[in-house]
Amino acid sequence: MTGKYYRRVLYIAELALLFLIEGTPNLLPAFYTVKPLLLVPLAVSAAAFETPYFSLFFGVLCGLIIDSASGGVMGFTSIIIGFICYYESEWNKKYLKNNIYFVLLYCAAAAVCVVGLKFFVFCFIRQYDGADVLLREHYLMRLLYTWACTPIIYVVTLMVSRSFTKEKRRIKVKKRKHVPHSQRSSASRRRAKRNPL
Amino acid sequence: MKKQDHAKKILTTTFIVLIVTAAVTAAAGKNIFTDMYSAFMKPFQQTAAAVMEDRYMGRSKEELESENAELHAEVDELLKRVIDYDDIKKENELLRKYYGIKDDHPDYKVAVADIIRRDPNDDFYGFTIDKGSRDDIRKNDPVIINSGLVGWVSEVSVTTAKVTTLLSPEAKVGAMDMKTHDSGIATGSANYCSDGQFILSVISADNKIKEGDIVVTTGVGGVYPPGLVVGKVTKLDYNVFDTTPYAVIKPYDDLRSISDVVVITDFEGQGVIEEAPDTDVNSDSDKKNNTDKDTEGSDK
Repeated sequence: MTGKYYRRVLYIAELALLFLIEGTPNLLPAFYTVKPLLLVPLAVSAAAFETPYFSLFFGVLCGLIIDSASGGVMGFTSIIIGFICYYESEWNKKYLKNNIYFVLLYCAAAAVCVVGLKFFVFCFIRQYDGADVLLREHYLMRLLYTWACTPIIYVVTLMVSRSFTKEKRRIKVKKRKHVPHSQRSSASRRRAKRNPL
Repeated sequence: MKKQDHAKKILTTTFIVLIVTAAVTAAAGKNIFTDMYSAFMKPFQQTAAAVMEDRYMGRSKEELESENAELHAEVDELLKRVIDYDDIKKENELLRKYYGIKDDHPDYKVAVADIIRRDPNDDFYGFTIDKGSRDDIRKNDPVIINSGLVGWVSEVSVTTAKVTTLLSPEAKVGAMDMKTHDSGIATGSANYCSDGQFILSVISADNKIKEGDIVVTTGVGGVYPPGLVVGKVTKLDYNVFDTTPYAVIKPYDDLRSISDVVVITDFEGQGVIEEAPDTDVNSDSDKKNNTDKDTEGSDK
Protein backbone atom coordinates (compact mmCIF):
# COMPACT_ATOMS: atom_id res chain seq x y z
CA MET A 1 0.00 0.00 0.00
CA THR A 2 1.27 3.45 -0.84
CA GLY A 3 1.06 6.61 1.22
CA LYS A 4 -2.09 7.63 -0.64
CA TYR A 5 -4.01 4.62 0.67
CA TYR A 6 -2.74 5.02 4.21
CA ARG A 7 -3.80 8.64 4.08
CA ARG A 8 -7.28 7.72 2.92
CA VAL A 9 -7.62 5.04 5.56
CA LEU A 10 -6.68 7.67 8.13
CA TYR A 11 -9.37 9.99 6.79
CA ILE A 12 -11.92 7.24 7.35
CA ALA A 13 -10.55 6.71 10.87
CA GLU A 14 -10.81 10.45 11.50
CA LEU A 15 -14.39 10.34 10.24
CA ALA A 16 -15.26 7.54 12.66
CA LEU A 17 -13.61 9.36 15.54
CA LEU A 18 -15.36 12.67 14.86
CA PHE A 19 -18.69 10.90 14.44
CA LEU A 20 -18.23 9.36 17.87
CA ILE A 21 -17.15 12.65 19.41
CA GLU A 22 -20.06 14.68 18.04
CA GLY A 23 -22.67 12.17 19.19
CA THR A 24 -21.35 11.22 22.60
CA PRO A 25 -23.65 12.74 25.22
CA ASN A 26 -22.13 15.49 27.38
CA LEU A 27 -18.71 15.30 25.70
CA LEU A 28 -18.57 18.44 23.57
CA PRO A 29 -19.59 21.67 25.26
CA ALA A 30 -22.88 23.06 24.00
CA PHE A 31 -23.00 26.51 22.44
CA TYR A 32 -26.47 27.97 23.06
CA THR A 33 -27.66 24.37 23.67
CA VAL A 34 -26.48 23.19 20.24
CA LYS A 35 -23.62 20.95 19.12
CA PRO A 36 -21.55 21.22 15.92
CA LEU A 37 -21.71 19.00 12.84
CA LEU A 38 -18.06 17.91 12.76
CA LEU A 39 -18.32 15.84 9.61
CA VAL A 40 -18.99 18.87 7.40
CA PRO A 41 -15.61 20.57 8.07
CA LEU A 42 -13.90 17.18 7.86
CA ALA A 43 -15.23 16.50 4.35
CA VAL A 44 -14.32 20.01 3.20
CA SER A 45 -10.82 19.85 4.75
CA ALA A 46 -10.07 16.45 3.22
CA ALA A 47 -11.23 17.69 -0.18
CA ALA A 48 -8.53 20.38 -0.04
CA PHE A 49 -5.82 17.69 -0.26
CA GLU A 50 -7.48 15.02 -2.35
CA THR A 51 -8.45 14.26 -5.92
CA PRO A 52 -11.93 15.36 -7.08
CA TYR A 53 -13.32 11.82 -7.23
CA PHE A 54 -12.13 10.84 -3.78
CA SER A 55 -13.43 14.17 -2.46
CA LEU A 56 -16.81 13.42 -3.99
CA PHE A 57 -16.82 9.93 -2.47
CA PHE A 58 -15.72 11.17 0.96
CA GLY A 59 -18.23 14.03 0.92
CA VAL A 60 -21.05 11.68 0.00
CA LEU A 61 -19.95 9.25 2.73
CA CYS A 62 -19.93 12.01 5.37
CA GLY A 63 -23.33 13.23 4.18
CA LEU A 64 -24.83 9.75 4.27
CA ILE A 65 -23.60 9.28 7.82
CA ILE A 66 -25.11 12.62 8.88
CA ASP A 67 -28.39 11.69 7.19
CA SER A 68 -28.57 8.21 8.66
CA ALA A 69 -27.73 9.43 12.17
CA SER A 70 -30.36 12.14 12.15
CA GLY A 71 -33.00 9.84 10.69
CA GLY A 72 -33.71 12.31 7.91
CA VAL A 73 -33.99 11.76 4.19
CA MET A 74 -31.03 9.68 3.04
CA GLY A 75 -28.91 11.51 0.49
CA PHE A 76 -30.22 14.93 1.44
CA THR A 77 -26.98 16.13 3.04
CA SER A 78 -24.70 13.85 1.04
CA ILE A 79 -25.66 15.48 -2.27
CA ILE A 80 -24.78 18.94 -0.96
CA ILE A 81 -21.48 17.97 0.70
CA GLY A 82 -20.47 15.67 -2.16
CA PHE A 83 -20.87 18.39 -4.77
CA ILE A 84 -19.16 21.08 -2.69
CA CYS A 85 -16.20 18.79 -2.00
CA TYR A 86 -15.90 17.79 -5.65
CA TYR A 87 -15.85 21.38 -6.88
CA GLU A 88 -13.52 22.45 -4.08
CA SER A 89 -11.00 19.84 -5.14
CA GLU A 90 -11.44 20.67 -8.82
CA TRP A 91 -11.08 24.43 -8.31
CA ASN A 92 -8.15 23.99 -5.95
CA LYS A 93 -6.39 22.12 -8.71
CA LYS A 94 -7.14 24.64 -11.41
CA TYR A 95 -7.69 28.12 -10.06
CA LEU A 96 -7.44 28.62 -6.32
CA LYS A 97 -4.68 28.34 -3.77
CA ASN A 98 -4.96 25.56 -1.21
CA ASN A 99 -4.99 27.25 2.18
CA ILE A 100 -7.07 27.53 5.32
CA TYR A 101 -8.88 30.70 4.19
CA PHE A 102 -10.40 28.98 1.19
CA VAL A 103 -11.24 25.93 3.30
CA LEU A 104 -13.04 28.23 5.75
CA LEU A 105 -14.92 29.73 2.83
CA TYR A 106 -15.92 26.33 1.44
CA CYS A 107 -16.91 25.15 4.90
CA ALA A 108 -19.10 28.19 5.41
CA ALA A 109 -20.78 27.48 2.08
CA ALA A 110 -21.28 23.80 2.94
CA ALA A 111 -22.60 24.56 6.44
CA VAL A 112 -24.99 27.23 5.14
CA CYS A 113 -26.29 24.83 2.48
CA VAL A 114 -26.69 21.87 4.87
CA VAL A 115 -28.16 23.79 7.82
CA GLY A 116 -30.13 26.25 5.70
CA LEU A 117 -31.72 23.62 3.50
CA LYS A 118 -32.62 21.55 6.55
CA PHE A 119 -34.28 24.55 8.10
CA PHE A 120 -36.15 25.28 4.89
CA VAL A 121 -37.39 21.73 4.37
CA PHE A 122 -38.04 20.64 7.96
CA CYS A 123 -39.10 23.88 9.62
CA PHE A 124 -40.15 26.48 7.11
CA ILE A 125 -42.26 24.25 4.89
CA ARG A 126 -43.80 22.46 7.88
CA GLN A 127 -44.58 25.88 9.36
CA TYR A 128 -43.49 25.14 12.89
CA ASP A 129 -44.78 27.59 15.41
CA GLY A 130 -41.71 29.60 16.41
CA ALA A 131 -39.58 28.66 13.40
CA ASP A 132 -37.85 32.04 13.70
CA VAL A 133 -36.75 31.18 17.26
CA LEU A 134 -35.51 27.85 15.99
CA LEU A 135 -33.56 29.58 13.24
CA ARG A 136 -32.02 32.08 15.63
CA GLU A 137 -31.30 29.81 18.58
CA HIS A 138 -30.55 26.52 16.85
CA TYR A 139 -29.68 26.76 13.18
CA LEU A 140 -27.54 29.90 13.23
CA MET A 141 -25.74 28.78 16.37
CA ARG A 142 -25.10 25.32 14.89
CA LEU A 143 -23.80 26.94 11.74
CA LEU A 144 -21.42 29.19 13.67
CA TYR A 145 -20.25 26.37 15.95
CA THR A 146 -19.64 24.07 12.97
CA TRP A 147 -17.72 26.79 11.18
CA ALA A 148 -15.68 27.60 14.30
CA CYS A 149 -14.52 23.97 14.50
CA THR A 150 -13.10 24.09 10.96
CA PRO A 151 -9.55 25.32 11.78
CA ILE A 152 -8.95 22.51 14.29
CA ILE A 153 -10.23 19.84 11.93
CA TYR A 154 -8.29 21.39 9.05
CA VAL A 155 -5.04 21.23 11.03
CA VAL A 156 -5.62 17.57 11.97
CA THR A 157 -6.47 16.69 8.37
CA LEU A 158 -3.44 18.62 7.12
CA MET A 159 -1.22 16.60 9.48
CA VAL A 160 -2.76 13.35 8.24
CA SER A 161 -2.28 14.45 4.67
CA ARG A 162 1.33 15.61 5.14
CA SER A 163 2.38 12.56 7.11
CA PHE A 164 2.20 10.46 3.97
CA THR A 165 3.33 12.92 1.31
CA LYS A 166 6.44 14.51 2.85
CA GLU A 167 8.54 11.36 2.59
CA LYS A 168 8.00 11.07 -1.11
CA ARG A 169 9.07 14.67 -1.78
CA ARG A 170 12.21 14.35 0.30
CA ILE A 171 13.31 11.23 -1.58
CA LYS A 172 12.76 12.97 -4.91
CA VAL A 173 14.86 15.95 -3.85
CA LYS A 174 17.61 13.65 -2.60
CA LYS A 175 17.73 11.76 -5.88
CA ARG A 176 18.22 14.98 -7.81
CA LYS A 177 20.92 16.16 -5.43
CA HIS A 178 23.06 13.05 -5.77
CA VAL A 179 23.46 13.17 -9.55
CA PRO A 180 26.74 15.00 -10.27
CA HIS A 181 26.59 17.59 -12.99
CA SER A 182 29.41 16.03 -15.00
CA GLN A 183 27.61 12.70 -15.17
CA ARG A 184 24.37 14.12 -16.50
CA SER A 185 23.42 13.65 -20.10
CA SER A 186 23.35 16.65 -22.39
CA ALA A 187 19.54 16.46 -22.56
CA SER A 188 19.16 16.51 -18.79
CA ARG A 189 21.67 19.38 -18.55
CA ARG A 190 19.57 21.34 -21.01
CA ARG A 191 16.43 20.49 -19.01
CA ALA A 192 18.09 21.61 -15.78
CA LYS A 193 19.16 24.85 -17.42
CA ARG A 194 15.61 25.52 -18.58
CA ASN A 195 14.00 24.61 -15.26
CA PRO A 196 16.43 25.10 -12.37
CA LEU A 197 13.90 23.79 -9.76
CA MET B 1 63.48 -16.01 37.76
CA LYS B 2 61.77 -14.09 40.49
CA LYS B 3 58.47 -14.27 38.61
CA GLN B 4 58.73 -18.05 38.24
CA ASP B 5 59.44 -18.51 41.95
CA HIS B 6 56.45 -16.37 42.79
CA ALA B 7 54.17 -18.42 40.53
CA LYS B 8 55.47 -21.66 42.00
CA LYS B 9 54.74 -20.36 45.50
CA ILE B 10 51.15 -19.46 44.60
CA LEU B 11 50.53 -22.81 42.93
CA THR B 12 51.95 -24.73 45.87
CA THR B 13 49.92 -22.71 48.38
CA THR B 14 46.73 -23.19 46.41
CA PHE B 15 47.41 -26.91 46.09
CA ILE B 16 47.99 -27.27 49.82
CA VAL B 17 44.89 -25.22 50.72
CA LEU B 18 42.75 -27.35 48.44
CA ILE B 19 44.12 -30.62 49.83
CA VAL B 20 43.53 -29.44 53.39
CA THR B 21 40.03 -28.27 52.49
CA ALA B 22 39.25 -31.57 50.85
CA ALA B 23 40.55 -33.45 53.82
CA VAL B 24 38.55 -31.35 56.29
CA THR B 25 35.30 -31.54 54.33
CA ALA B 26 35.68 -35.23 53.77
CA ALA B 27 36.07 -35.73 57.51
CA ALA B 28 33.26 -33.38 58.70
CA GLY B 29 30.57 -34.05 56.02
CA LYS B 30 28.78 -30.67 56.27
CA ASN B 31 30.46 -27.30 56.70
CA ILE B 32 30.33 -23.63 55.81
CA PHE B 33 31.40 -24.22 52.20
CA THR B 34 28.65 -26.71 51.53
CA ASP B 35 26.12 -24.34 53.08
CA MET B 36 27.27 -21.47 50.88
CA TYR B 37 27.27 -23.63 47.82
CA SER B 38 23.79 -24.98 48.44
CA ALA B 39 22.39 -21.50 49.14
CA PHE B 40 23.83 -20.21 45.88
CA MET B 41 22.83 -23.14 43.75
CA LYS B 42 19.35 -23.79 45.11
CA PRO B 43 17.33 -21.64 42.70
CA PHE B 44 19.19 -23.00 39.67
CA GLN B 45 18.70 -26.51 40.89
CA GLN B 46 15.03 -25.97 41.48
CA THR B 47 14.55 -24.66 37.95
CA ALA B 48 16.54 -27.49 36.50
CA ALA B 49 14.58 -29.96 38.59
CA ALA B 50 11.29 -28.51 37.43
CA VAL B 51 12.38 -28.77 33.81
CA MET B 52 13.57 -32.27 34.35
CA GLU B 53 10.34 -33.16 36.10
CA ASP B 54 8.41 -32.03 33.03
CA ARG B 55 10.72 -34.08 30.90
CA TYR B 56 10.30 -36.95 33.25
CA MET B 57 6.51 -36.62 33.07
CA GLY B 58 6.89 -37.00 29.35
CA ARG B 59 5.28 -33.70 28.26
CA SER B 60 6.27 -32.79 24.77
CA LYS B 61 6.41 -29.33 23.21
CA GLU B 62 3.04 -29.92 21.52
CA GLU B 63 1.44 -30.84 24.83
CA LEU B 64 2.81 -27.72 26.46
CA GLU B 65 1.53 -25.64 23.56
CA SER B 66 -1.92 -27.14 23.83
CA GLU B 67 -1.89 -26.54 27.58
CA ASN B 68 -0.88 -22.95 26.90
CA ALA B 69 -3.76 -22.57 24.45
CA GLU B 70 -6.18 -24.01 27.01
CA LEU B 71 -4.95 -21.58 29.63
CA HIS B 72 -5.35 -18.70 27.17
CA ALA B 73 -8.91 -19.79 26.45
CA GLU B 74 -9.56 -19.96 30.18
CA VAL B 75 -8.17 -16.43 30.63
CA ASP B 76 -10.40 -15.17 27.78
CA GLU B 77 -13.42 -16.83 29.35
CA LEU B 78 -12.67 -15.26 32.72
CA LEU B 79 -12.14 -11.87 31.08
CA LYS B 80 -15.49 -12.21 29.34
CA ARG B 81 -17.11 -13.07 32.63
CA VAL B 82 -15.56 -10.00 34.23
CA ILE B 83 -16.95 -7.81 31.40
CA ASP B 84 -20.37 -9.49 31.75
CA TYR B 85 -20.14 -8.94 35.47
CA ASP B 86 -19.52 -5.23 34.93
CA ASP B 87 -22.49 -5.00 32.54
CA ILE B 88 -24.75 -6.85 34.94
CA LYS B 89 -23.54 -4.70 37.81
CA LYS B 90 -24.33 -1.54 35.87
CA GLU B 91 -27.75 -2.83 34.82
CA ASN B 92 -28.43 -3.86 38.39
CA GLU B 93 -27.62 -0.35 39.58
CA LEU B 94 -29.99 1.11 37.00
CA LEU B 95 -32.73 -1.37 37.93
CA ARG B 96 -32.25 -0.48 41.57
CA LYS B 97 -32.55 3.19 40.59
CA TYR B 98 -35.81 2.52 38.77
CA TYR B 99 -37.08 -0.05 41.23
CA GLY B 100 -39.72 2.44 42.43
CA ILE B 101 -41.41 2.47 39.02
CA LYS B 102 -41.81 -1.28 38.97
CA ASP B 103 -42.92 -1.22 42.59
CA ASP B 104 -45.61 1.40 41.95
CA HIS B 105 -46.79 -0.18 38.70
CA PRO B 106 -46.47 -3.95 38.83
CA ASP B 107 -48.21 -4.25 35.44
CA TYR B 108 -45.33 -2.45 33.67
CA LYS B 109 -42.83 -4.49 31.71
CA VAL B 110 -39.76 -2.31 31.49
CA ALA B 111 -36.35 -2.27 29.84
CA VAL B 112 -33.66 -0.07 31.32
CA ALA B 113 -31.52 1.60 28.65
CA ASP B 114 -28.51 3.87 28.41
CA ILE B 115 -28.38 6.85 26.08
CA ILE B 116 -25.56 6.16 23.65
CA ARG B 117 -25.89 9.01 21.19
CA ARG B 118 -27.38 12.46 20.95
CA ASP B 119 -27.52 13.62 17.38
CA PRO B 120 -26.27 17.22 17.01
CA ASN B 121 -28.58 17.65 14.02
CA ASP B 122 -31.72 16.98 16.09
CA ASP B 123 -33.38 20.25 17.08
CA PHE B 124 -35.53 18.71 19.77
CA TYR B 125 -32.90 16.74 21.71
CA GLY B 126 -33.85 13.26 20.52
CA PHE B 127 -31.42 10.46 21.37
CA THR B 128 -30.46 6.87 20.67
CA ILE B 129 -30.63 4.15 23.32
CA ASP B 130 -28.73 0.89 23.56
CA LYS B 131 -31.79 -1.36 23.45
CA GLY B 132 -33.70 -2.44 20.36
CA SER B 133 -36.21 -4.96 19.05
CA ARG B 134 -34.04 -7.73 20.48
CA ASP B 135 -35.01 -6.40 23.92
CA ASP B 136 -38.75 -6.35 23.11
CA ILE B 137 -38.79 -2.66 22.29
CA ARG B 138 -41.29 -1.56 19.64
CA LYS B 139 -42.11 1.67 17.89
CA ASN B 140 -44.18 4.09 20.01
CA ASP B 141 -43.26 2.48 23.34
CA PRO B 142 -43.32 5.17 26.05
CA VAL B 143 -39.96 6.22 27.47
CA ILE B 144 -39.78 7.43 31.06
CA ILE B 145 -37.41 8.29 33.88
CA ASN B 146 -37.99 8.33 37.60
CA SER B 147 -39.50 11.78 37.48
CA GLY B 148 -41.89 11.15 34.59
CA LEU B 149 -42.43 10.85 30.86
CA VAL B 150 -39.57 11.60 28.47
CA GLY B 151 -40.97 10.73 25.04
CA TRP B 152 -41.55 7.71 22.84
CA VAL B 153 -39.61 5.29 20.69
CA SER B 154 -39.77 6.64 17.15
CA GLU B 155 -37.44 4.22 15.34
CA VAL B 156 -36.29 0.73 16.24
CA SER B 157 -33.42 -1.38 14.97
CA VAL B 158 -32.31 -4.73 16.33
CA THR B 159 -29.89 -3.36 18.91
CA THR B 160 -30.74 0.33 19.20
CA ALA B 161 -33.77 2.61 19.19
CA LYS B 162 -34.32 6.30 18.60
CA VAL B 163 -36.35 8.27 21.09
CA THR B 164 -38.22 11.47 20.27
CA THR B 165 -38.68 13.68 23.31
CA LEU B 166 -41.71 15.65 24.44
CA LEU B 167 -39.82 18.76 23.33
CA SER B 168 -40.56 17.86 19.70
CA PRO B 169 -43.61 19.42 18.01
CA GLU B 170 -44.34 15.90 16.75
CA ALA B 171 -45.22 14.88 20.30
CA LYS B 172 -48.95 14.73 20.99
CA VAL B 173 -49.62 13.36 24.44
CA GLY B 174 -53.00 13.49 26.14
CA ALA B 175 -52.33 15.16 29.51
CA MET B 176 -54.27 16.85 32.29
CA ASP B 177 -53.77 19.00 35.33
CA MET B 178 -53.73 16.66 38.29
CA LYS B 179 -55.53 19.14 40.56
CA THR B 180 -58.11 20.76 38.28
CA HIS B 181 -58.47 17.91 35.74
CA ASP B 182 -58.23 20.38 32.87
CA SER B 183 -56.93 18.36 29.98
CA GLY B 184 -55.07 19.17 26.80
CA ILE B 185 -52.33 17.94 24.51
CA ALA B 186 -48.73 18.09 25.66
CA THR B 187 -46.60 18.97 22.67
CA GLY B 188 -43.23 20.53 21.90
CA SER B 189 -42.83 24.09 20.80
CA ALA B 190 -39.93 25.69 18.99
CA ASN B 191 -40.33 28.70 21.27
CA TYR B 192 -39.64 26.73 24.43
CA CYS B 193 -37.51 23.73 23.41
CA SER B 194 -34.24 25.60 23.98
CA ASP B 195 -35.25 26.02 27.62
CA GLY B 196 -36.13 22.33 27.92
CA GLN B 197 -39.84 23.11 28.20
CA PHE B 198 -42.95 22.23 26.19
CA ILE B 199 -46.60 23.30 26.20
CA LEU B 200 -50.01 21.96 27.11
CA SER B 201 -52.15 23.14 24.23
CA VAL B 202 -55.83 22.72 23.31
CA ILE B 203 -57.00 23.58 26.79
CA SER B 204 -60.38 25.16 27.42
CA ALA B 205 -60.66 28.94 27.67
CA ASP B 206 -62.15 28.71 31.17
CA ASN B 207 -59.46 26.40 32.53
CA LYS B 208 -58.39 26.63 36.15
CA ILE B 209 -54.77 25.67 35.63
CA LYS B 210 -52.32 27.52 37.87
CA GLU B 211 -48.55 27.85 37.94
CA GLY B 212 -46.98 25.02 39.89
CA ASP B 213 -49.70 22.48 39.06
CA ILE B 214 -48.55 18.99 38.18
CA VAL B 215 -49.50 17.65 34.76
CA VAL B 216 -49.95 13.90 34.21
CA THR B 217 -50.87 11.69 31.26
CA THR B 218 -54.53 10.81 30.75
CA GLY B 219 -53.84 7.41 29.21
CA VAL B 220 -56.36 8.11 26.48
CA GLY B 221 -55.35 6.41 23.27
CA GLY B 222 -53.60 3.54 24.95
CA VAL B 223 -50.15 4.71 23.98
CA TYR B 224 -49.05 6.13 27.34
CA PRO B 225 -50.11 4.69 30.68
CA PRO B 226 -52.36 7.00 32.71
CA GLY B 227 -50.96 8.96 35.64
CA LEU B 228 -47.39 9.38 34.38
CA VAL B 229 -45.97 12.71 35.48
CA VAL B 230 -45.31 14.98 32.51
CA GLY B 231 -44.06 18.06 34.33
CA LYS B 232 -44.97 21.18 36.27
CA VAL B 233 -46.79 24.24 34.94
CA THR B 234 -44.41 27.22 34.93
CA LYS B 235 -46.39 29.80 32.93
CA LEU B 236 -49.80 30.42 31.39
CA ASP B 237 -49.90 32.23 28.08
CA TYR B 238 -51.97 32.89 24.96
CA ASN B 239 -51.25 32.22 21.34
CA VAL B 240 -50.70 35.60 19.67
CA PHE B 241 -52.50 34.55 16.49
CA ASP B 242 -55.65 32.85 17.70
CA THR B 243 -55.61 33.83 21.42
CA THR B 244 -56.04 30.23 22.51
CA PRO B 245 -54.56 29.61 25.94
CA TYR B 246 -51.71 27.23 26.63
CA ALA B 247 -49.65 26.28 29.65
CA VAL B 248 -45.87 26.03 29.59
CA ILE B 249 -44.66 22.82 31.25
CA LYS B 250 -41.24 22.11 32.64
CA PRO B 251 -40.32 18.46 33.15
CA TYR B 252 -38.82 17.55 36.52
CA ASP B 253 -35.59 16.41 34.87
CA ASP B 254 -33.80 18.25 32.10
CA LEU B 255 -34.60 16.16 29.03
CA ARG B 256 -31.57 17.65 27.26
CA SER B 257 -29.05 16.05 29.60
CA ILE B 258 -30.45 12.76 30.97
CA SER B 259 -28.19 9.75 30.58
CA ASP B 260 -30.42 6.70 31.12
CA VAL B 261 -34.09 5.93 30.64
CA VAL B 262 -36.69 3.21 31.07
CA VAL B 263 -38.76 1.95 28.17
CA ILE B 264 -42.20 0.58 29.08
CA THR B 265 -42.54 -2.35 26.72
CA ASP B 266 -45.92 -3.45 28.06
CA PHE B 267 -48.54 -2.16 30.49
CA GLU B 268 -52.12 -2.83 31.41
CA GLY B 269 -54.41 -1.09 28.93
CA GLN B 270 -51.79 -0.72 26.22
CA GLY B 271 -53.49 -0.26 22.88
CA VAL B 272 -56.92 0.15 24.50
CA ILE B 273 -58.67 3.36 23.50
CA GLU B 274 -60.57 4.75 26.48
CA GLU B 275 -62.89 7.63 27.11
CA ALA B 276 -61.22 10.83 28.22
CA PRO B 277 -61.62 11.64 31.91
CA ASP B 278 -62.64 15.16 30.90
CA THR B 279 -64.40 16.13 27.72
CA ASP B 280 -61.79 18.60 26.38
CA VAL B 281 -59.44 16.15 24.79
CA ASN B 282 -60.53 12.90 23.28
CA SER B 283 -57.44 11.25 21.95
CA ASP B 284 -53.71 11.22 21.65
CA SER B 285 -52.16 11.82 18.29
CA ASP B 286 -53.61 9.84 15.42
CA LYS B 287 -50.24 8.54 14.50
CA LYS B 288 -49.76 6.80 17.81
CA ASN B 289 -52.83 4.65 17.78
CA ASN B 290 -53.33 1.02 18.37
CA THR B 291 -53.18 0.01 14.73
CA ASP B 292 -49.82 1.66 14.22
CA LYS B 293 -48.44 -0.09 17.30
CA ASP B 294 -49.55 -3.51 16.09
CA THR B 295 -48.24 -3.09 12.58
CA GLU B 296 -44.86 -1.66 13.55
CA GLY B 297 -43.99 -4.14 16.23
CA SER B 298 -44.77 -7.40 14.57
CA ASP B 299 -41.65 -9.03 16.02
CA LYS B 300 -42.81 -8.68 19.57
